[in-house]
Amino acid sequence: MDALGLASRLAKQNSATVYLLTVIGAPPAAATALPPVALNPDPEFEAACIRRLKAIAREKLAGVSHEIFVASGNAAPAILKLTAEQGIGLIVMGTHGRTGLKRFLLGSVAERVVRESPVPVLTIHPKAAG
Amino acid sequence: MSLPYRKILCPVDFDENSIAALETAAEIARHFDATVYVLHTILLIIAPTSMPVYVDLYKAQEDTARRNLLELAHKHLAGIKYEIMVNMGEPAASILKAERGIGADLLVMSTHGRRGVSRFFLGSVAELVLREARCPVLTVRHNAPQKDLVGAWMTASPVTAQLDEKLSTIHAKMLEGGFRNIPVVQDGRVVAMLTEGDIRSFVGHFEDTTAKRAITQALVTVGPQTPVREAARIMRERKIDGLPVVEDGRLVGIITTSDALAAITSEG
Repeated sequence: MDALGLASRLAKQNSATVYLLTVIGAPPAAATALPPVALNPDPEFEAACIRRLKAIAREKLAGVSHEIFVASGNAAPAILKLTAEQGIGLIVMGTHGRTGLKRFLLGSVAERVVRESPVPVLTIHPKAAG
Repeated sequence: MSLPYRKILCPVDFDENSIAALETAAEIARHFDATVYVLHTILLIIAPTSMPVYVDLYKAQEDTARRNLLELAHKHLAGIKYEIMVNMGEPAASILKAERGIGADLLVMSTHGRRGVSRFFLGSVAELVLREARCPVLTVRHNAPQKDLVGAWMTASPVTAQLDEKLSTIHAKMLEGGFRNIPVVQDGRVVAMLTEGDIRSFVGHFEDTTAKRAITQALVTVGPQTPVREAARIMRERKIDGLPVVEDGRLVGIITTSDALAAITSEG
């Protein structure tokens, strides 16, 4: 079971709402020699993210109360900000689901969220048995 | 991994952080009628290859750990099925081994607060467990007043003065308590801080002057969740010795420069 599946089941069981969030990442600072600028995600890309989240919600969150959010920037601060703003009581996330560099980056997001979150964090390895 | 959770592993380190995790594990176990496996790992400091393992020494440690675990379980897991486990070695490896051994379907553990206090979960332990665990891992933060927040250092329920109170009685209160500042309240709300200096400028007129007239400083307050350093910064910038601590509009305490110094010098 993945993080979304787990969140869905927990939400169903507790009549809770799932806040489905995707964060559009900024390019790593080291990769650009330019001075930092405020990066606003391409509105079309953002719209595509929302469509994708809606499709995911239809498939995986059927019958579960949910809301969809798209944020941009660094993933961990965005997750923590939404948690504070929406008064979220539990964060459910995968530790890493990719390979190579992405695997490392995702792992570090989970780690930072775990370290800084004021609310409990349920992490799940995507390859978890069952 | 399966829902409902049947086997919940909770590694503990006999500190307040671990208790927060244990209580969360207990709550979930109650919900699912699950068994809580309470695990303590004794750090094995002597490398078994280079020196003989002092079996007797570790045996004593193990007995103590078992006793402590039983005590913890008795206190926090009343009415819940539990098992206690004591391992020796490196904590992350011990947790992962136990997870696999019992076929845990949930691991509940604590993270340290902003200033790491739990040696158990510093650095690589939590990280390794998060990455390697087969079952979901629920990390819980200990929510008791943190050592670097005003709430942990303030004087709760301080002595107060009324806005229309005469300086003579206020002065007496301050002398009696040895206070250099006193919060002034009106209708249950703090409206100002009255300082020793404010009062001193009315020497000889204490009987016919009220707090209202003597107040010179604009009110600045902090909350129990304000970092002590931030409170110290405010006091330094505004050259004041004490700040009222307000929560939900209610005066809950006072923090002074001495409190801030005590907090900052206690940081390890």
